[in-house]
Amino acid sequence: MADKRAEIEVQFNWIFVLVIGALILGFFGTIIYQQKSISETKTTHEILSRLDTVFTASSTSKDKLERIETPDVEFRFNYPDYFVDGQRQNLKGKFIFAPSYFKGSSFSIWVKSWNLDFAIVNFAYVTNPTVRYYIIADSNDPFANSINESIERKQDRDSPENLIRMDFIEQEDMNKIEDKGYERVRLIYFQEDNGDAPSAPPMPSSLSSRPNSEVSALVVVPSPTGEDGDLAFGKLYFYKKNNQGQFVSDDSEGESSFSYVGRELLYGAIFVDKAAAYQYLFNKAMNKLEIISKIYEQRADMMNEDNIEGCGYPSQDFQLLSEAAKTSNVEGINGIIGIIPVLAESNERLSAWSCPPLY
Amino acid sequence: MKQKNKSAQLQIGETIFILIIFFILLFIGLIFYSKVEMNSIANTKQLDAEREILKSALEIIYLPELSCMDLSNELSEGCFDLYKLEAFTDLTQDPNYERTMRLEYYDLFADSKVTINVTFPKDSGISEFVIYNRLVENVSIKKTFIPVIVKDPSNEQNYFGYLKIESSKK
Repeated sequence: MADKRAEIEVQFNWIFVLVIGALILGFFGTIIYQQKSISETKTTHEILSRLDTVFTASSTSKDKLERIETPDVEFRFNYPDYFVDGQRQNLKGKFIFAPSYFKGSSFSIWVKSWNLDFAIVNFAYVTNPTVRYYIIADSNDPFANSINESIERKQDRDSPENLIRMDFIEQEDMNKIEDKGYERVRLIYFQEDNGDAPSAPPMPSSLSSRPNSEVSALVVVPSPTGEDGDLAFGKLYFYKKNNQGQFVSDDSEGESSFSYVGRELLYGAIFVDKAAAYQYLFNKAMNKLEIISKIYEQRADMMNEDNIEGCGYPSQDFQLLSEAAKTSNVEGINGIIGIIPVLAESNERLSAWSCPPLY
Repeated sequence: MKQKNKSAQLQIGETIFILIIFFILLFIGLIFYSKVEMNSIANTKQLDAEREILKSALEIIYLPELSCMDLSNELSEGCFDLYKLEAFTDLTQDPNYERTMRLEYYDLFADSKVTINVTFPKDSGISEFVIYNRLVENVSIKKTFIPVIVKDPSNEQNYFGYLKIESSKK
């Protein structure tokens, strides 16, 4: 009896050890797993906090291009929010033009002030070395060349650390574009304004088998009178890739054709890859222009009431600008194009008369 | 024989007792660690809140709709145009634009009150501009003050003042 009891106790002891051991291991395993999860959340929160600071700084900076290092994370832009490794953050009204998705350990941010003879708001363009841009145009097209040069001027082209991966390709050399394994490819076609909406642009053969979400196109039709000087304007047409390896209008979430007023909005259309994203930011920009015009209208009225040294301020022009920005359709854009030079001329005249400036 | 059995029971009892003490110490350690973490999170929250206010202040100072412009139509830092301040304030109180302004600037100002006060010279005749007010009542308020210049473009007169941001603490 005593011998059998000893055998039972030995087995019971082992069972006891196994159970307790499993409990302790399970307990520590749970703690480690939770700590890992908390640590990842903390890291993402710190990244989001830092990005918020970067984007805030962009709204106060002047024309500059810089590279921001981050841990290897995934970015998604779905306005008005953006996501870092799935964690959502609101852009809080900032104008950030970015591709819908990119991944990596760095990104570039280029800040420019949207200026229609007076500063309206800062735009920030975000991209990443995994996104490739091709400008496809006639080599003699001065406007396309000037757009390419204005981006190239911001960076050292010979540097292997090119912050914006952009190339200029002639239309006939389009099929020489190679699939170099970039995560996203954006093609920007420049076409002449012949009065009709352009047809869908051709797809380079090397990209026709890429996943649809990784290839997008933009057709820029500058207005013939909108290429000279600083106030560039024209039409933009957004395209996405379909399963047949062709470009079709990107109108699944709304419109696919828009206008741009000022090069800064054109750059914005280059850096976003979806029509819906541009539409959201374009509408916000027009809201901003409407508010600023209204402020300048009231400012002009107040200065007229104060009768400053006989200087007259054209508040009605700002009223027209505000109404044009409010409509933001083709008539509205034409209205903006027409009023800005008038305001610029008024400001120069006031300056010549030693009057306080219009804005 | 009986003694052997009693010895084995004692051994098991010892082991169980040790394990109980071990788990008690572990839980005490966990409670202590969680208290430290909670303090750390509270500190981080406070720092984040202060950072948010400073970011808002930075953006306000560079707002084109309030800032002075120099001769080359570039924004002047830390300078507010007197007429723009009056126009902005009027627009936020205009029934036709009040909602538009509130929606447009909520992302920037959130639940706060933004005031620009002119302090010098004292006889300037200009007091304060409340350019935004969505302060939540019955919560604690955090205040931030930043010195600024208010410029009257009609006579190029500069006034000293400060930007006050009162933020509702959540």
